[in-house]
Amino acid sequence: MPELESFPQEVKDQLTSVGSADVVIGFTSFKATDDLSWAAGLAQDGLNVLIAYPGGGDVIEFQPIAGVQFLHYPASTPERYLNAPKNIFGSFQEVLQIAQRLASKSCCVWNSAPQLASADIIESLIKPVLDQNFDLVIPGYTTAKFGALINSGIICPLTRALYGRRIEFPMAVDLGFSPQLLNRLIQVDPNTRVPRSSQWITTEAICAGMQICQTALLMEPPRPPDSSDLSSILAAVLGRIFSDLERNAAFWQRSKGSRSAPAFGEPYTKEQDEVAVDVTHLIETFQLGYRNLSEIWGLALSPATFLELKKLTKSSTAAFRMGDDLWVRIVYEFALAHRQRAMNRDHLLRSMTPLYLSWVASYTLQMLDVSADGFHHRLEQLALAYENQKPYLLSRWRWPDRFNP
Amino acid sequence: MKLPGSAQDPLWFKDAIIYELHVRAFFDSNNDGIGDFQGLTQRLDYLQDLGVTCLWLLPFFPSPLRDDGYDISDYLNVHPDYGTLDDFRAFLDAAHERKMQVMIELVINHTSDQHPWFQRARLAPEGSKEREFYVWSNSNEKYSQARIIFTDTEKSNWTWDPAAKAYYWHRFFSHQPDLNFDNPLVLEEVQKAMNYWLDQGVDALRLDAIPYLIERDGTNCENLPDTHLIVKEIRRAMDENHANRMILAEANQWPNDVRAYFGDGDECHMAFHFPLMPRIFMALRLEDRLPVTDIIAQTPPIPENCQWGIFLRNHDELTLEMVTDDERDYMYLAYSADPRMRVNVGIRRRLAPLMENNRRRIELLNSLLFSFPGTPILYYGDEIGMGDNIYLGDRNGVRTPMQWNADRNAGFSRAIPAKLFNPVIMDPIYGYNAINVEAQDGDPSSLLSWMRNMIALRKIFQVFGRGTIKFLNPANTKILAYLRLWKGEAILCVANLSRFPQPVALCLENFAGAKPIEMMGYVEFPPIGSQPYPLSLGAYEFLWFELHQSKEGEAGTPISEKGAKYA
Repeated sequence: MPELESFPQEVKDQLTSVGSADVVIGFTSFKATDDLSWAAGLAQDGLNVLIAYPGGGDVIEFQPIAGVQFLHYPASTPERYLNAPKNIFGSFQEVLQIAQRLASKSCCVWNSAPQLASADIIESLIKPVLDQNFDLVIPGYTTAKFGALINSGIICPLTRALYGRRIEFPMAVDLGFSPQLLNRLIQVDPNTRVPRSSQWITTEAICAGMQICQTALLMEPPRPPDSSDLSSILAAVLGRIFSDLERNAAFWQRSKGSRSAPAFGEPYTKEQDEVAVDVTHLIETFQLGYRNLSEIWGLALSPATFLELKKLTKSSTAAFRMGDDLWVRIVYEFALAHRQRAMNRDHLLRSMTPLYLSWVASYTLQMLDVSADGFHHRLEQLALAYENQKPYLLSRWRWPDRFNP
Repeated sequence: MKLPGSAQDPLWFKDAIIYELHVRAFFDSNNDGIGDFQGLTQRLDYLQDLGVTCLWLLPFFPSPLRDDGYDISDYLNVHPDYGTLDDFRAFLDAAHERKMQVMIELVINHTSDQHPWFQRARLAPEGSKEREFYVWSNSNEKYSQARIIFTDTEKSNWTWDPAAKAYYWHRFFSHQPDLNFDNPLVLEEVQKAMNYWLDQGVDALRLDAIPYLIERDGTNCENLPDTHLIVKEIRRAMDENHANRMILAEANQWPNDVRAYFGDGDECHMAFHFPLMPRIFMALRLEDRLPVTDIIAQTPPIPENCQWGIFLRNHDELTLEMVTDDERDYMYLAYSADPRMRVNVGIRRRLAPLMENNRRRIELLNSLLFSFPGTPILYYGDEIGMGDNIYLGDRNGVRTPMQWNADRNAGFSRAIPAKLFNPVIMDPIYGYNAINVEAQDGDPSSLLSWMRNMIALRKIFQVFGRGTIKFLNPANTKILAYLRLWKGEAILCVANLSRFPQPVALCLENFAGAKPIEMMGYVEFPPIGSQPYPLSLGAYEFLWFELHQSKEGEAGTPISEKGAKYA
């Protein structure tokens, strides 16, 4: 990862000539055809704006916009970001370093497709920092009953239960930063010896006591880079969350209950046509997993949990239901097995795929006749189950023992 | 520009779990019967899994080894039995890679009589700077008020040197002449040695036997004001060029005398709390908390940037110098039935045999170690309950090879058994067939697994390393109960020192409304009310509680405002 010091001299020269910028907007991928004319809208407020865009090619000649400057910076991030599932959260280090160098009052890192950016959207990510002293602005993307289910079923409720913050999309990748937070993120974490920006930024901010808010964005959550490979995505997401549990044990084990992060804008729930989900296929995948992966699951799951799964394999499709408590227990028991290195961690997490699909199947069957808005209530129940069962995770984390119920 | 240490936090030592080991006894990589740095490096993963964060290495420098390496003949090298300087550096890097700090010994009170400085001194003319590296006298009556420390072997602190035609001063063995810190060149050489190792990346130094650096007529030659000037100068020199390093003082003295070695935070960062250790054993045997609460009450506050080092056992005897005569007699009767268990003024036994291999007693004492104010220091092998060999001389009975498995030589070495530096423990109770790492590693009910869990638990709560302590005084004196408080966080520790179940009612009215959460199982207990809080504890049982607000609240704020008044 290039340090500012290792940026080409012309970039450093340009930064010196720019001197400072009120706002830095950093794209982590960019094409010459991407339109940035909307940036004029930002400069109308009298803000000095610098837009940083990456790439190894030629510098792009933009139409001049008053109050807006452009900077072409070298970055290895976009390639990694787009291609490597383990790096789906990207690295913001280069943009953050530029923002720090220019003493910006707010910084926005844009990881989604550049053509989705607009003045309104960028403004909603930087204004809470400029006007209300928030340190991290996390987008609330549009929600849908059957959309972003890894987030709904695991990431969001798990983050809430463990870290005590109700954040709709804790792993969102388009973010607004305060100078305090970006200064922290560019530092190397003494425990992991990597820059904090390459760790999970939401939990970094929570554990550092930073002020976090959400802002509604009228756009769908970005799709993972390789959406066809569910196992890789699950392994990457869960691996990141579970590794963070070890690093942040002293924090989350003290956190009790949860509270909402302040939210701006009206959250939007997409009216979604009923999708033709092949629930039968999901259930068959689970049943196949039960037959083939029992040995691995046996390393992670307690006897009582395993017994519940065995009963589930015998359910008819119509009656197929995975209770919230069972699902939460599965997630927590995999977190414990990950911590105890019960087996190769990547294999362990990939083996969770059929279990996740069984939860999806159960959820889908429950949601088929529920209104588009009604699923929020359902997910709230799930989140409470995560919170209620947190003591189970805590007790087994603190006193690991194979002799479990 | 100061050379940084491997730790980022200058107060890292407050949160540390220190593990004391001898390179010679840990693991032998070249099968010569003696442990070495390459062997130690191979076993770092074990130590990382155990959870310890700082390794304290006993002396590994060139030495005739007449005092287990505390008789140094070259400060700037590695004893060839243990490897090379490159081996040491590779070990240091590997430890840092695993986020473990490394502490080494700086034995500055004395050298070996084989050190070139001494050989030069005894032949140098009287009054010359070479001669003045050591303390000489034409009479063996000088400093007569100074006690003899190694009473079993030494009859005087002076020994006649025929080459020098004078007596030389030694507070320990006669082959360990004391350096003369009235000679500025001595301090200069000591600082060179110190900087040499700090420049390599060593994180901490244990200053051996520092109360005895300076001698003065008419005194007992311990803890003299000029000694503190020397320590201050060492600290200043360390801070001048190095960041985030630490000095640990070995001063086997009463708490008020040890307090002086912290200075105003400008002498040692840490010091051993010697008097606490025997009183923990005494309280357990008497089934009465008084010895512990009494010595803690006698312990003065220390500067914010300083810390006590606490331990149950170490490489020396269980020292009984800092107890009263009656207490010493009691300890001998209680813990050393066989006279061979005694050496100097103490008891040369490991933790498990002292506890007669009673697992609950071992766990109870470790729970006190992990929850008392200070940084806990574990002695190698005690995490698996290793035994000792009282038939070996001096203190070698507690310095036997680490027991890795049930193979030949306990897996410590592939050498023929006769070549081992010390024989392995072979008795039926503590022998390596019964007690070894491999057997305990895969056993979730083993002492090793218990220790790992306890260390991991302690590391979650900074209050243990940084907080204050407040003893509760329940009527039942078999119960030791105390609060650890730091930054609004409160932990209640309750220990039953008795072999039988005991009831207790704790006055916790300042925490009324708080919900005690038992820390190991995260089990919620009934809320604290205005009446004394009743608990029952089984034999040798201990309980730790987080005191949480009864109302669901903000993340990370476990205790009510009312509780904060103690902090």
